[in-house]
Amino acid sequence: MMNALLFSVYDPQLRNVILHRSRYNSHIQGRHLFITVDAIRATIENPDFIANDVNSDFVENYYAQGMIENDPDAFLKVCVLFKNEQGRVLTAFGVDRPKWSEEILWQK
Amino acid sequence: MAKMSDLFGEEPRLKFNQLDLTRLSPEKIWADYDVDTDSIVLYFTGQPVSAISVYLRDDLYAMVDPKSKDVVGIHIEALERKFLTRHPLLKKSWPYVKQTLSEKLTSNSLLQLFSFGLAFLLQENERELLLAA
Repeated sequence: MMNALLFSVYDPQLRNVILHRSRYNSHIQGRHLFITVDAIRATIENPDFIANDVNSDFVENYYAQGMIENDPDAFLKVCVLFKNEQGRVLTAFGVDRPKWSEEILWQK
Repeated sequence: MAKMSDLFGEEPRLKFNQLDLTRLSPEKIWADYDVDTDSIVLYFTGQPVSAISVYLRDDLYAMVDPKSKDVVGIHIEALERKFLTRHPLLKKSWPYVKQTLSEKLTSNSLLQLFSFGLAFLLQENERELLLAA
């Protein structure tokens, strides 16, 4: 049987974060081309920043630079929903820079 | 707590070409609304293409091809929670559009039409941002 999870990893604050196969296949891959599972995993495990989300108290945004093809200065932004101590990747996409209104919760 | 603006400022880093939708037609729009993130992504290219989301303001991003610097789409976060409350006309039609959405129908015609109107509204109302850079 195919594994429902593409990964289950820990962020720098030792919180468990998972990515469901269905979420990646149906949402992330379809919307944002060239965002790979490996890049999402690396961003969770080794982000440059973790920031709050201005639209949800339960979402945190992970940013890592150098993950986007054709634009090495861009960041991969991975939005993670936390419930009961576990995080679930909601979406991931390339951004030119972190959203300026977000507060930095953790920095490398 | 430090804000991202303290490190990066508030201006976009990636410069992009002026958005021109004069030759855009609804069937050229690929659109997708996601309930979990309350976000909509629309591409003017008929299908998703490689793009960087350039944050402008108010949960609005221009999606820019990093090579050509053309705006190839628009990405809006907090669509229902914030964006539509600022645009009453779109808010009125949204429930009908949303009703037609299903997991397997990403670019149905109502969503395409809605997105078509949305794109033009943004081009008019956010002219100074989308002319940006």
